[in-house]
Amino acid sequence: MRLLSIYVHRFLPISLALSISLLVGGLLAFVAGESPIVVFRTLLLDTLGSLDSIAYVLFNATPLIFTGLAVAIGFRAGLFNIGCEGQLYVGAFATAWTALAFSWLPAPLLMLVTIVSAMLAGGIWGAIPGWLKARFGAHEVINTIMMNFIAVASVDYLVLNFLKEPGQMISQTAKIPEGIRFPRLSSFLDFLPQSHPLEISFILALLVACLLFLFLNRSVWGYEIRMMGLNPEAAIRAGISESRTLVFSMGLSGAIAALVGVWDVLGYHYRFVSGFTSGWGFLGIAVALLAKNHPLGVIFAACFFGLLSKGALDLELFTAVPREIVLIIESLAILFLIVSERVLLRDRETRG
Amino acid sequence: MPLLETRHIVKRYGAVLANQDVHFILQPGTVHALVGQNGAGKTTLMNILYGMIQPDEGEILIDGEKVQFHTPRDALTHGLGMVHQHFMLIPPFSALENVVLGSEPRHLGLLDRKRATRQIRDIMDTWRLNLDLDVPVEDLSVGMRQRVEILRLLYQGAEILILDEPTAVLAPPEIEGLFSILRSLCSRGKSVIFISHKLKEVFEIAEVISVMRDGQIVATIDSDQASREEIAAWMVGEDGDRRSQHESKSSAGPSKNSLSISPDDVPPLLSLRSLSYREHGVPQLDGVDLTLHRGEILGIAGVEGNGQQALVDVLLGIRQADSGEIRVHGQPISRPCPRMMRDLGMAYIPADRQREGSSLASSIEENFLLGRQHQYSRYGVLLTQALSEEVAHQLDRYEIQAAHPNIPMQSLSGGNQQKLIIARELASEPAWILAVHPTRGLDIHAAEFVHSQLREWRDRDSAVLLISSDLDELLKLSDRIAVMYRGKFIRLFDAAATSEYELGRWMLGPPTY
Repeated sequence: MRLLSIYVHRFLPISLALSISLLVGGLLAFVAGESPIVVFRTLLLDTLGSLDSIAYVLFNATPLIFTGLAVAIGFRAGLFNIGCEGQLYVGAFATAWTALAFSWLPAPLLMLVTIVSAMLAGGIWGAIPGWLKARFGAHEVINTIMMNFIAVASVDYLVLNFLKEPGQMISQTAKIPEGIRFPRLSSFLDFLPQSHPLEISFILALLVACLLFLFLNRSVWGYEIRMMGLNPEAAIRAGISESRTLVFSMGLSGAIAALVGVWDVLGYHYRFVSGFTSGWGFLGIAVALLAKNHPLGVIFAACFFGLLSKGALDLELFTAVPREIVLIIESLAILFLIVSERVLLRDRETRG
Repeated sequence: MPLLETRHIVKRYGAVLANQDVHFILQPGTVHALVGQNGAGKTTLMNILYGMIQPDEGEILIDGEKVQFHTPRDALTHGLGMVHQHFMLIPPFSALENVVLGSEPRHLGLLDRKRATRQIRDIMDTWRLNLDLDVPVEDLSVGMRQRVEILRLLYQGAEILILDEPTAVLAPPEIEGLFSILRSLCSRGKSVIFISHKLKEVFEIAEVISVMRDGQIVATIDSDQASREEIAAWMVGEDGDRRSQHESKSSAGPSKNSLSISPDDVPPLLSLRSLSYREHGVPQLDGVDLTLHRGEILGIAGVEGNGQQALVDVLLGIRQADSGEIRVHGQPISRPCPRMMRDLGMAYIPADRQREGSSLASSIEENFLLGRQHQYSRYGVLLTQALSEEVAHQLDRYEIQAAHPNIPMQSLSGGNQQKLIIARELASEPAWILAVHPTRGLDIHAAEFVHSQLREWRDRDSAVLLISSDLDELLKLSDRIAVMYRGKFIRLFDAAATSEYELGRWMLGPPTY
């Protein structure tokens, strides 16, 4: 009975949402003049058909795990962090800046310093809207959005004026020292081609998800964050400090989002490149929604989105369907998830 | 023929009967007051009348014809409208815009200001109701805003106006203004249902008074035939008389300044000195003095809204008093917060166990942890094993029927939820307990259990500050009872030497003999 109830609560809405959105996607493909079978085969089977291709899915999923976790932790505290985009941007900047400024440090120490400084930068960037809410009651949605603009504009200004690689037209910093670049997984795994971009950040992302899971469920602070999100009135009356929880959870959220910056600078571009982000901060919201804010669920939701974006490339290459169909499927999945949850839960309530 | 009549109205909320078999008759052209304690069912009845909720049984008749309201708009088309205690106006809109909101006269799809102004001026002239129509509502005084609400109902054709505690927010001259408007309305055929706690005003304005208690109308009487004492007795219940024979001569009582009964030098557990607190400029606590000693239950009686909520919040440290002093164990507390007060030995049984005391979606174990998470952790890591053992033990001890400690709180019955909260709060071996309506909504069995727990803790040399609207409960449990009225303790009774009747009288303000 309990298992059934967990199934109905947790997995039925998600399975329903995913299948319906894929079905509608297939229908749209048909309208666009392509056989739905071909589309599904390209999107799902081919993408999952080779280890190399699966590794691409995981590569795509890596930043989404970070931002998904960041948004999820905010949601758990009852906060809507739309500011991951800005937080990961300042995180990336802090990574590149410390990597270049302290390049004389021994490599392992420098790597640690860059990661810590990125998390600090993103954490502070996230904590500011948290503090504004705690102190003045300013809504975090507005403030995190505004902080995004401020982050992008000021970081781009700093890079362009102080850190731009000399002699280059593009707004980007010089390359970071080789010693602190994240090793690619292909150097340990023979079946991946040397050029494959999947690197240890993915493992780091899995680790962060597990740590966050333990933190939320097994620590006092995690418990306080969850209670504040579930019933602030009762949490406050039980002696949990609202302002501390707001600032801390937003800071933690920002620090995790900043790891996307680390991933990009230490693991992919090896430098800060202006405009490197492709909306991971916002996609993280969808990931967190799909995962129902469960840290381990975020891994799977991020992989699903990673799968679709890998499939989107193949769709464009091998079929007549435009890749935008994947965006439609992603968005429909979220819409259907929200609706099916409402319907299923309401149904249960009226019966109970 | 009555203008409005309800027959056999029944409304249940779970096991609670909010309205049971309510018969209410309103004659045209009268101000009909509805009085009763909190929880007597007035609000439920009014919500049914203006279409906000639907009754489970019974019917409503207007001019002898059966009607059914599904929405407030339905009720309004039948001429029934409500002025809420908290106004439902849009502050930046002008008075005129607020009045026509929802039924705007249009010209080419736009608001026809000229026609609207003309229509409203007609109504204002008819009812002698003055108002500056072009001023934004946010710049109007509270009394004027109330006029906007009334005008809006009249504009939409209301024949019956329901006013919920309309004078609670008004200054005395504004009350006079309101009353003259109400009189002018009734003199020309409109009817008013006037809900109030203030008997003085009720007698001043109403022609007919109905008293509600326990979801029923227990009396309806012409105001010139009734006395304040009679009405108060109906409100608190006839069995007040039973008690009144215990009323000794000393029921003139200890003087209201001698709040301390303990002669020895042991500092009291809790003492408050001239505690004051204002909210939006309105005094909620107005110089509260209180002393709570070991081994006693101090009851606080009062009509809801006389500062009890503020007192609880200030004691918890959620709100900070503007002036005055709080001492715990004799030590002054400068800036209390919930964590500090708990660490100093306070347990808190909240008035609303679901909203203020638990997280319904979380498991029983997690709810048991709430407020005690620091005791069940080491280096920031929760001691889940110890918690599980403790919860299993407590479920057993308090006979809380739960299939499993991991099922969500919401699957427990109300009584078991309350038991769990009490188990949690008492497990920390508190020095004193702040209990707010601790048995509200519980069945007799569960309520009895809660009472026995509070007594047990008193006998173990702890102390209880008991805030309740159930006079019977207060009299049964308390050693002393303070009556709270407009943010003050106006009277302190020895519980053995007072009665429901007497408490009820004082709850409505110092009686004028």
